[in-house]
This record gives sequence, structure tokens and C-alpha cells, in this order.
Amino acid sequence: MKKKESRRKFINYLGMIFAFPFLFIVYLFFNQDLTIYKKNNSFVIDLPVSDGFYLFGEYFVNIKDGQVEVILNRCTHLGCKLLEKSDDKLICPCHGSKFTKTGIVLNGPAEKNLYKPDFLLDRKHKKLTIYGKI
Amino acid sequence: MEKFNMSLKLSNILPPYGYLTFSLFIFTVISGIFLALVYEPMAAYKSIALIIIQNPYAAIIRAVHYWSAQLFFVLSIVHIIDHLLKNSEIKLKRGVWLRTVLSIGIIVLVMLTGFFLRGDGESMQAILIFQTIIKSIPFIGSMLSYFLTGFKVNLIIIYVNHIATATILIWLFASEHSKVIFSNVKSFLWVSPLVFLLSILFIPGIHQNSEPIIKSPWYFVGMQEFLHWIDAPFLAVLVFAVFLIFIYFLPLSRQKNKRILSLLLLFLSFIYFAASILGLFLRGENWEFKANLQNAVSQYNYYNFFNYLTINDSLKNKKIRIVKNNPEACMSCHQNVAGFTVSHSPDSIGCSSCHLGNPLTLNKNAAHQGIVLMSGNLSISERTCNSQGCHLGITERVNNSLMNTMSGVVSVDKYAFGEIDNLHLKFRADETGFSSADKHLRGLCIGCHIGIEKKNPGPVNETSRGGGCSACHLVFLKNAQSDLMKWKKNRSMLIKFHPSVSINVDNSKCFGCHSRSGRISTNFEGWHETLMSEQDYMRLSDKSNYRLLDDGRVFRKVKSDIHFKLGLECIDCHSSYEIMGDGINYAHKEESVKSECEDCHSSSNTSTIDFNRMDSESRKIIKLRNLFVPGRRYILQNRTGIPLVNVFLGKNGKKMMRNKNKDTIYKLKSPSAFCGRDISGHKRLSCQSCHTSWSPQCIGCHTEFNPKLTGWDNLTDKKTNGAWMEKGTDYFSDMPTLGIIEKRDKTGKKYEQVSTFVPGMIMTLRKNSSKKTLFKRLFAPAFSHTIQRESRDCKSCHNSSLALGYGRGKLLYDESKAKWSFIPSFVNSRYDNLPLDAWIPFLKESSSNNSTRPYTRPFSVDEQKRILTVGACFVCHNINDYNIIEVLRKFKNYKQHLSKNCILPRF
Repeated sequence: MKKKESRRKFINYLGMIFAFPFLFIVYLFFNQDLTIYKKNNSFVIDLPVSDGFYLFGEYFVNIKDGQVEVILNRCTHLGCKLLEKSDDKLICPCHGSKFTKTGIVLNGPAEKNLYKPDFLLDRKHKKLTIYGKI
Repeated sequence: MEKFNMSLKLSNILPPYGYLTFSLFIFTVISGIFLALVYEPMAAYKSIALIIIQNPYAAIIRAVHYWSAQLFFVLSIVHIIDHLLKNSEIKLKRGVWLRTVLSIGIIVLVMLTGFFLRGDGESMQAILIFQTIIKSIPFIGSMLSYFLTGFKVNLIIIYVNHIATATILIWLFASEHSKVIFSNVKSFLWVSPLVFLLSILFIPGIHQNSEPIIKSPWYFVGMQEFLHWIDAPFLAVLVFAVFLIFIYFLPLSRQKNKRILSLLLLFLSFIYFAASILGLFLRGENWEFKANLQNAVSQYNYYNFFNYLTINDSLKNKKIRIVKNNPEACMSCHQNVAGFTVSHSPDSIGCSSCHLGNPLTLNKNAAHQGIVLMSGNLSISERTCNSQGCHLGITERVNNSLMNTMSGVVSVDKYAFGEIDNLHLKFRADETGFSSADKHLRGLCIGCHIGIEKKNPGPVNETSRGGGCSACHLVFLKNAQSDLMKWKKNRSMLIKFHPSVSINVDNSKCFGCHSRSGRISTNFEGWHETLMSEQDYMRLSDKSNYRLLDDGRVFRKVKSDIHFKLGLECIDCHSSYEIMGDGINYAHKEESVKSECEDCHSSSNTSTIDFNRMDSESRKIIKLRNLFVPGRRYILQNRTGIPLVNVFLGKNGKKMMRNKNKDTIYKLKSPSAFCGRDISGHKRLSCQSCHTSWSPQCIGCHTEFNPKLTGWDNLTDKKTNGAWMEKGTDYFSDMPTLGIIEKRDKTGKKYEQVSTFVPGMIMTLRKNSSKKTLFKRLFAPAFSHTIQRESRDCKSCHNSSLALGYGRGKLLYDESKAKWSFIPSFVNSRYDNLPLDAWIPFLKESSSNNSTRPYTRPFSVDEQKRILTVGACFVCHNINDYNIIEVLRKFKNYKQHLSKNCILPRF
């Protein structure tokens, strides 16, 4: 009986010894450069010619008086996609957070302003390259 | 076992909850295996939609899977509570009990992944939330999120976790603590009827991707409600972890603590239950508080098996049409419908993109629930015209366009009523209140607000108003009209000819509203309004020079615009960014109009662009209109840089235009060498100030509120007590008055331009019979759209009292005294002592603002003097005897060397 218990213990320890390296490999796997799986680094769109608020893929593009602003279409609360409302606001259909079209939070539960990714504006060729986060 | 069965009365007749729970789990697994045969994780929405629409037996299997899972989840909780009450967990080893408690988390995971696998709009949002919450776990959050849902949202990874990882773990943990591999027959006999009954009566649907109400699965609605109040995703994990720890330690704690813990758990459960009720039944679109039980129930979108029984046999075996990966069952009945343009044909966008309803059923009543007949109305256009992101940003632009806001109309009306004194203010027609001016607007002007709901199907004609996008883009061909008439008599008939939604907007769409106020549509075609009644018109022996409009007004033929004579239409000059707006909420029309005569009629400073560098909207229009020619250089508007899709450089480098609705090509002419704008003293002239042949003008109109009549509120579409009545007096088709408008060039620099003006409001206004009469004399800038090739002559400005703003009459020059004098044709108004048609007093300026714009004005006294000084020359000299351009170039020289007979006026 005593022998049996010690054998079980031995197998348990052995399992643990093998489990840790496996978990470590899993950890390393997830810490690799997974960029190619996660996102396209850049996203190129045709720049609209007039002022307005546009949705291109995952991004809102806000053009006012020729100034361009790019906003990620994700609520900063829990990541839902936002809806554009006719009262010049962006609203989260999941929990009701409200933002201006410049990404400033108006009503909670979200507390942070919307994320604004880096972008490159090529006015000559009317192209906008967004360096995404998704 | 018997002892346990005595603890709850139900247990006397029911098998143990654990057995029932495990039976349900087996049901779930088996139904899941069959479901996997018809479910495609790569096209989740499509595959489930096809099951729901056409495969009632697969739908029942899915319902069995759904209901057995829901009941399994509920009974798992009941089973845990039951054992906690009986304190039976004490018998389990701690390790087994720990894994059993952890299996609650696995059960939640399998339920959630099942919800995610629907692949509809609601579940895709849920995945994003889930990822955010999981990623908020310190250290392992991201890893766990990738493991459970993939690097991006990946339904295959979720599918694997649903059918394999979670299922195997549940089976293992359940088997371990129950020590049975399968449940007993009695338990199956108990749960089977319930599962099958629910599955037949309530077949779960899926939500269309465009639906605005987003709710989590019922067991997490309480959490969704909590998260509405706080911005802490990790809290959701924490609460769940605390709950599991609570459950784990509950049976291990002492009796006294256990009682306290039990009461606490009961209290927290009650709060969660209350939050769930609030979220389920009292939250609507955008998680706003909205007590609507019917909506709350209907959002769950259940079908029943009997829906399938009522489906016509001929439909059952028809192949369901798939449009952009979305099944459209509508087209099984509404097949072979003609009349569409390619981009709006059901083959391209289906039916539900525009008309909503439920495309996932062949049952007529269910399919027509929530259907929208007039899908172009602005109130719904976000969900119809922009439902699939088809018209990105356009619905928003139209919402802010002047045709919708009518800001200028509202502000001038309020200004005339004395309710505001700032004409820079911006308004929206749909926010009009109930002041006197507002009621006046609601009763009359707002009828032309494009946001007014179109309620009855039918073609756009002279009297139809509103309708949003369909006000311009709806085209009823003869066949469609004929089908509509038949449909109105027999609503159950299936139409075969649908009106088309077209980019080819002809002038008739503009005519209804723009034959009013400035009357640019009628002017353009050369029609001038008369005071004749319909009866007068009917009595005419020769009607060839008259036109009776559908609203009963009679027009007389005068001179039409040169562009109309050549076959051009409104949209040939006015671009999409002008008509549908550019997103900016402008106060007045002149700010939003972008096209200028010089865009086409100018040889210098022409900017061009090639197709590949254009914005996507212009490119799309060029393609749709078949205007694309490789290498073609398209002209950019001078002021805004917006491409003119139908104006381009020809092979010889000269500007050309193609009619948008026809294929006529025009060579565009530059201003003649005799254009006086290049010459000193005339540089401020706009093209229309010389080339407008006539403008419709009326004076002495009267608007009065009659409380005895029944009016109509155009905004609410309801009757009102009392009505505003308009009475016109004389209409004139004379040359316009000239004045100054302040503009900005493309760098934002201000400049002044001589432009054309008409009496915008020379009117008396009585709000109520008991109060005093208001009098307004306001001139408005007006581009009358009566352009002629020839320019008006010098005398028509320099010697015209009407052009200068004094009104009609005689301008006399007394050479002996070197003095100008003016004899008006109209008597002076008793309100301001000016001739009825005047803008300003003779050689004076007005004491108050008399313009409908803050940036316009009549000629100043100095400008009047300068104009009349030249005018004095024309008293003796015949213009035709001179080379007027030469004279203008050397005017200063001439002025310094006057003959003795030339006497310039003294002011």
C-alpha cells in the first residue's frame, strides 16, 4: 500500500516536471512575434475629398476643414463596435457609452477616449495609410 | 441516495438532479454531432440561416441542442444548490470538489462559445467583449484570449473549444464526481418531452447583422447591466472567480459561517436576478432604458415548427438565394421582379438590405414583421441605405445637408418674425418648436424638408414632398406604376415591376420643391408664375404659353435658361457633394453651393485630376455613368477642389462636358473677349449679375394666421387648429436688383462680389388678428437660373433704378443741375415710407438690416454714386457707338478730359 502511494506520488511529480516545461513552451509560443496572425500592419484607403465622417473597415475617418483624424471603431470600455448616430455622436450598442466624433468620451461606462492610431496622409495621391492596432 | 431524495419534495418524483443534468448534457452532445453535419464555422451565419429557413428538421435538432444546453445550464445550477443545501459535497475529495467547481467555469465557457458560434452581429460583438474581458486578466489574459478565440476573431478556434476542449472537460469532471459514465433511462424519459416540446414550439433564430439591439445571452444580461455602470472589465472576471471560490469554500466552512455565506449568496443572487430582469426587459437600443415588453420578447426571435407547416409546398424545395453570403428567403416568393438598376437589384443586395423584415423565414407573416416599405426615409436610412455600409457617410451627409436642415429657411423665417436677430445661427427643420415662426414653418415651408416621411408608395411628382433618399433617387417606370395601381387594389398580389433606385436623377425630382420660393426649377425652364387660377387657365383658348402645375398654380412662358435649352439638367452642374451635402451643417444656401460658372467657363487656372487619384465616390459615379476614359483629365471645382465627374479636358486641351443623363457632349466656352470683368471697375461682378435674364419677383405679399381654419403640421403630419394663409400680389419677371455678397476664396480670404438679389420678403405679417401687423423688407441673394448667352447692357445697371435697389420707376438726370432724381412707380409703404419694391432709399443707405443674409448688403452710397456717375454718360452717349471695352480701359483718362458738354453729376 505504501509502495502504491509512493508510486502515485512519483507519477504525479513526474507529470508536474513535464507539465512545467510544456507550460513554459506555451508561454514562449504566445510571446513570439505573432504579428502575421494578429493584424495587417497597415491599412490603405482612398482619402475622401469632402468633409465628413466615414467608416473604413475598423476605422472611422473624420475630416473637418481638411483636417484628418482616424479613430479605431472600438469602444474603450469592452471593445464593442460603435454605431454612428445622426446626432453627431458615436454610441456603443452594448453598454451605451457615448463619444463625440472626435473620439472624446461623453457618457460612460467608458472612461477613456477612443484610440487614435498613427496614420500617414498622402494628399497628393489622396491616400491614407493607417497603422492599425487590430 | 434515498436520503438525498427526501430533501426536496420534487426529488420524490424526479430522478436526482445530477442524473437529469447529465441526461441533458448527453442530449446536447448527440444533437451537436448531428448539427455539425450542417454547420459551417467558416460561414456560420449563412449555414444557420439556411437551417432556419429551409430545413425544419435540422432546425429542430438545433433547437434540441439549444434547449438541452439551456436546461443543462439551469439544472447544473439547481444541482449545485441542491447539494449545497444537503451538504453532500463533504463526501467528495477536495481535489474532485475543486474540479467540480471549476467545471462551472467550463460550462459557462461551452455556453458562451455556443452563443458565439451563431456568427450574427450580436455574437460577434459578444466575442469582442469576451476578448477584452479575458485579456484584462493579469499575466495570462492575452494568452488565454488567443487560446479561446484565436488571434483575430476566429470561429474555427471557438468551434474547436466548443465541441472538443470544453465538452471533453465537462464530461471528465462530471464523470469524476458522479462516478457514472451515462445517466439512467428514467432521467432521459423525464427530460425528453420537455426538450422536444420546447424545441418544437421555440426554434431559436439568429439576429441579422444590422440589428441595433445588442444583448448578451440571458445568463449574462445581469453582468451586462453591471458593466453598463462600471468601466472595469477585470471586475467581471473577479466577480466570477469570487463566485467560484465562494462555492468551493461554502461546504467546507463551519455551520455558522455557512449560514451567513448562504444568506449572502442568496442576496447577491437576488441582485443579479434583478439586474438580469432590468437588462432583459427594460433595456432597448444602445442599452438605453426603454420599457417595452413586446420588443424584449420579440428580440429573442423564436420560430415554431408550425411556421414551417404553413409554408407553401412549392417554396419548400426551392433553392434559397444567397446574396453576399447572406441567405435571402424573401426572393423565394418575390422572384423575377424586374425594374432594378444593377447596383440595387436583389441579386446584388437582396431585399432585406433596403426593406428590413426577416429574410430568414419562408413564412409570410414572420418574414414581413418589421418590414419597411419606404426605405429611403431619412429616419430609417441608417439601417437601410447604409445597412451594409453601402453608402458610407452619405446618410450622415444628407442628414446635415440644407435640404434636410433647411437652416436658412428656418433662420430667415424666425428673423422675419422677430424671434432672432442673428442670421448666422444654424437650425434644423426637424427640431422646430412651437413659436409663431415655428408654427408658420410647420404649416408651410417645412413641407419641403427632405426628412418628411414618405408614407405612401408612388412616383415622385410635383406635389410629393420628403421621402429622404427616395425623393431624388426613386424612379417609377410605366410598368412599375401600373403594378403599383394593381397592388393598391389587391395588396396580396406580388409585384413584378419594382421602382428603380437610380443615380439618373432628372429635373422632375427637383421640381416639386424648387418650383417654390426662388422658383429656380420653373425659372430654369422659362416659366413665370402668374396670379391666374386653374379656372382661368382652363378658360384660355391658347394654352401653349401657359402651364398648369399639379398644385393649381399657373405659369406663363418667358425666357428659359440657356443651359436648359441645350439640354442640361440640374445634376450636370450640381455634384453629389453639393446636393447630398459635404457633411457640414451650413447656415445658408450660398455657403453650401460649390459649383461656380467659372468651373466650366474659364480658360485660365484650370486644375485637373486623373481617375486614379480621385476620391472613391467620384470614381464610383464615373464608373456608374460610364464616364471613364483612360487618361482623361477631369476638371476640379475652383473653390473646393472637388472633381466634376462630367467635365474634362478634350483631346485639344479644351474643356468638355457630358450630359450626365444623356450622352450629349458639349464644348465649353470661355468668357468672350468682351467680358467686362477683366476691366477696372467691374472686377467684382459675378457672372450672373450680367447674364441673368430675369428673376421672379413679388412684392406686397401677406401672410396671416387664421385661427378658424384647420391647418396641417407638415412635421408631425397632423391637423392643427388654425392655419397660416399666404396671399400674393403682383409677380414680376424683371432683371434682378444688384447688391454685394461677401464670399471666401479657397484660402479662406474674404472678398466682395456683385451679385443678384430679389425681394425675399416685402411683406406684412399678422400673427394674430388682435395684434399689430409686422412689416418686413428683406432682399435675398438669388441665383435665378435664367442665364442667357448675352450680357445685360450697361444702361440696365447704370441707369436702372431697379438694378440699384430703388425699385421700379424713372431715374432722371437733370444736366442743367447735374443732379439725378428718381420717381418711383410704386407708392411708399406706410410702414417704412419706401416704395413697395425698393430695397434702399434713393442715394441713401438703409437704417436697418434689410437683407436675409448677414453677409450681403445693398450698394453703399459711395457705390451708388459711382454707378450713377457712369450712368450720366449714357444719358447722351449711345453705347453702341463706342467700343465699350476700349472706353472702360481708358475710363480714367476720359474722365479727366471731358468735353464742355459732359457734365458729371453732383451728389
